[in-house]
Amino acid sequence: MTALDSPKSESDVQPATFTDTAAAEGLSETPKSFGRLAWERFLSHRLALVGAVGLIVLVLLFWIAPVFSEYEFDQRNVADRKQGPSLEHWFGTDEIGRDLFVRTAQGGRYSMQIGLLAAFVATLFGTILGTLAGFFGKFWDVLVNNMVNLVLTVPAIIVLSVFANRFGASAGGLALVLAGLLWTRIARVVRGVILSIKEQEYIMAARAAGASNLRIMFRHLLPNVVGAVAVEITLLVGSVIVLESTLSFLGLGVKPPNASLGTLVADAKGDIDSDPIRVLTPGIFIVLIVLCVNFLGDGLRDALDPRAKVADNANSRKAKRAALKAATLSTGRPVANVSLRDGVAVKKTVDGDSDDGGGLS
Amino acid sequence: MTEPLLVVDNLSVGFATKSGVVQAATDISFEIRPGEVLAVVGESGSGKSVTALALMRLHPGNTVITGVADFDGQDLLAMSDPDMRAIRGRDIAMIFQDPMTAMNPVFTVGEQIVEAIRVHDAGMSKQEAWKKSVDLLQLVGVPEPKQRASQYPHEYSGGMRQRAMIAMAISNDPKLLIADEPTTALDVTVQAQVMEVLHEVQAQTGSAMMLITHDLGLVAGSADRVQVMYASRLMETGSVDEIFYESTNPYTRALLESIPDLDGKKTELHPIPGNPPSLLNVADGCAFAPRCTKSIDECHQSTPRLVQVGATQASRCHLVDQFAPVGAWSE
Repeated sequence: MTALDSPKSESDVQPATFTDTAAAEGLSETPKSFGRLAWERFLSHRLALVGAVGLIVLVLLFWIAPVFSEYEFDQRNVADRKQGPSLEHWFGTDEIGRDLFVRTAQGGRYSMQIGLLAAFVATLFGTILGTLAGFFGKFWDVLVNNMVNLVLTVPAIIVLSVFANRFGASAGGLALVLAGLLWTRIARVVRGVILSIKEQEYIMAARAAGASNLRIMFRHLLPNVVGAVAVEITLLVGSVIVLESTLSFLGLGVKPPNASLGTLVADAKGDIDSDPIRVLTPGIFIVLIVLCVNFLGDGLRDALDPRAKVADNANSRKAKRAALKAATLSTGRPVANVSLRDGVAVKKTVDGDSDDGGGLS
Repeated sequence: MTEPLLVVDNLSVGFATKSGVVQAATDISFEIRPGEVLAVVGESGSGKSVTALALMRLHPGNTVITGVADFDGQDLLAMSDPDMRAIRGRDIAMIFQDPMTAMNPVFTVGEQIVEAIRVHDAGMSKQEAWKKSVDLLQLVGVPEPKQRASQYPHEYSGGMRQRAMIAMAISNDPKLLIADEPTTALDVTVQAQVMEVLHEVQAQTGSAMMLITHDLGLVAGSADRVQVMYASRLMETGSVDEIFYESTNPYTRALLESIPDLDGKKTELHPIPGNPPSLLNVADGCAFAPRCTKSIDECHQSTPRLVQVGATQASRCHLVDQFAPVGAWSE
């Protein structure tokens, strides 16, 4: 057994050289579960970790921090209106003297809730329709595709203005309206994955073993969809938050005195010349939330790929450096760049010609 | 002789395409008895797999099937979908060609065998089924079956995976195993091991086997009876000895000629020149005639019938008399 199998060096499973990767794959004695492998791949993805930690910090900031503040989100104090950031009011106050830190936290909570809720509803709807279309084809495929096309041809902002004005006052209503527009992306992704997976031989094998349509759908197709959908969800959460902010900015979403990050920007836009910080703070939080969520999605995509074998990561600098070194040693020529794809290195020599990584093993 | 387990009578399978009907299997008739190994050999596209898939009713939607397949008193081709589902995996199990793609990558091998068991025996608890799947893995020669059961397919080698597929196929003690080129994707040493496992398993469970292959070496070593197919039709059928030593069909002989001889007597390979014909709008005449070195005019004009040339041997050739010395097959 090589040292790679000891628990101490577990985190070092990233390939130092390619022979080591092969050894780690072939000789590992205790099999790692898919979840465990996914977790390791996730941990080795730096941006995803940044995203996850960032989101945790934001959640704590939005939900816990305001508890310790002496102000309420709708508490006016006209004497203290339009103040800049201070120890008393961290983010300053608005034009009727409300504490902007508390209001930003409330807006952040609202945005995150809407984002999750709308993404959940859209995913549920999109997954069901995408599965029906991909699995049964024919009538269902035509129906779902036409529904998708219909939604895509509708001018989103007009529909949103109408419906958000009518239902947007409550978080649930606004989330439903947004989900009604955004489920199409999920449906298409799910349909595509199902179409390719259902032609796999193991689906035929499951049928040959006597499995029914329902069992094949739930046991064999949907688990394969999870990875792709998880990524879509995170992207969706980002879009929802941006859309919600847009709507609230236009006055179509949350109603006063409640705040969302969008209304906070809208409230402050008149004073952008004299007090740009009031516009910037909620804006920066919108960007931060969406950025963290997207980083997280990026990591999930790599981690949840059922065909990825080891916890190696194409972007890992450590692995790349090692491969670069090995490539230079094996060719005797300086190697400019090396990219790792599926554990196979493709190296580019300085003088421009590239060849495959045969010499690396 | 025991009663046949499966009697297939005039099975034809066609695919309706835009440019016409592709006749993938034409008037196939055969039977399989319990405990018997029937090998179906032929080139790619000769209708071997299509026949098997049609028996399992796993063909795509645009397929036209006629004929009767009497399995244990029930017609496989006429029964309802739920009835057919109950038979798949329980009475007739299938082993697929490529073990690399025939397992779901997101479940452990043990989980997949458990599922195969519990599809047909919902009363069995998960723990029992898990124990049984470990026993099955042991039976097919997977080392350390306890640990191996909780591994994922990608952690298995090709040969191990095919063993696991066999374990899954025999998990419900099927009466008939259909092995569709079970060793094609494996290397030669592993092929031998896998065939050995198949034989042991078959001997233990007493099931019949339909072995689809284009490897004549495999057939010689493991089959009781052989059925040679070409361009959707049966060309010759008979016992292993009859096919290998007393063949009365030029196509079978050409196939045998094309096997490399390891004794070094032959220096040259004798491939069959040309390609199998398109199965779209098949013309009259023997399908093999254009490639046959012995063809006469009649071969191009009328399709020969399958002629009984012995108690168990039948051949489809106009020149069948020239091949068979009288009495050669009766022992």
